[in-house]
Amino acid sequence: MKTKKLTEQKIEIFKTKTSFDTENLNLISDLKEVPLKKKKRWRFLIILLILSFVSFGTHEFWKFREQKKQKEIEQIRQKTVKEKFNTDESCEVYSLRATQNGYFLCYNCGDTNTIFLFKGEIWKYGKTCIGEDNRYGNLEEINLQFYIEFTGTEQQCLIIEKEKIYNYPTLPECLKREIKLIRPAGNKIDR
Amino acid sequence: MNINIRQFGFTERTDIADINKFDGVLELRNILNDKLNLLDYTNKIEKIVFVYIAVDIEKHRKTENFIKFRTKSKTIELGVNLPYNEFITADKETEFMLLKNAYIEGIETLLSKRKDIDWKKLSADFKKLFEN
Repeated sequence: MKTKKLTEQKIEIFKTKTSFDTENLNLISDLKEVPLKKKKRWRFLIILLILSFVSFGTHEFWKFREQKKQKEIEQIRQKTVKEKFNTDESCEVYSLRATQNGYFLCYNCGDTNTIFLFKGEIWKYGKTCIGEDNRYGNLEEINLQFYIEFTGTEQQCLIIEKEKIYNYPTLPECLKREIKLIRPAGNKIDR
Repeated sequence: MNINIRQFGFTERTDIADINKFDGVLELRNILNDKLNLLDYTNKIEKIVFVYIAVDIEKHRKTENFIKFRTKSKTIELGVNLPYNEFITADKETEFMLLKNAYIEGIETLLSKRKDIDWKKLSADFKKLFEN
C-alpha cells in the first residue's frame, strides 16, 4: 500500500516521460529531468544558429583557399618550359625550422608581429635553385635551420612549395596553437 | 625576433628530420662563444658562421664545402660536409666528435685560404678546448 502511494506521488511530480518498473519501484529515466523553459530553448536556438554560420563561414573560407591553390598550381603547370624554368633537377624546396624554442617574427599573426615556435617547428617554406645564394648568416642570427624538403625541377618545386604553404594549417604543430595561421609565420604571401 | 650577436655562429643545411641530432651544435656554439674571442685572431672579420652540411646525396644535390665572405656584415660563412651515413647512425658522443672534426676541417682547409685571420691559432685554441 505504501509502495503504491509513493508511486502515485512520483507520477504527479514528474511530468516528463518516465518509465517505472512498478514492481521494483526503479526509476529508469533521470529523475532530475525537467522540461526546458521557453527562454532557454530560444537561447539554445540562437547559439546553434551562430555556430552554424561560423562553421559554414569557416568551411567556405577553406574551400576558397583550396580553389585558389588549385588555380595557382594549374597556372604553374600551364607555363611552358621555355619561359623560364630550369629543367634539370637542381632546385630545392626547403623549410626554415627553429633550432631552439623562442619568439620569431610573424607576418601573419594579425596584431602581434611575433609568434612562439618550439624547436623543429616551421617558420617558412621556400624554393631555391642552384646558383641562388643562400644567406646562412641570416639564418644563424635568427636561430633557423635550412631543411631540404624536396629536390627536383623548378616547376616541380614551385608546385610542391605551394602545396606545402597551403597545407601548413593542417600540420599538427599548427593545429595545437590557439592562433591558427593560414600560412607559416615567415611566408608573407602564398608562394 | 631572435637577433643574436654571436661571434661564432652555427646553422645546418640538412635533410635529417630529427632536429635533436644537432644538439651538439648548440653545445659547440655555447662553448666557443664563452671561451674564445674572435678579436684574438682577426680585426677584419666580425663573425664566423659555420654551416654543417648533412644531406643524403642519393636523394638531393650535393653541396660542396664552401667559404664566403659577406663584405657588408664582415661575416665569413664556412660550409663543411659531415659524413652523412656515419652521422645519421652515430650516438651523441660520436655526433659531437664528428661536429668537432668538421669544424677543424673547415678552419684548416677553408679558412686557411684567407690572409686576414690567424687560422692556425684559432685551430690550436679550438683543439685545446676539448683536450680534457
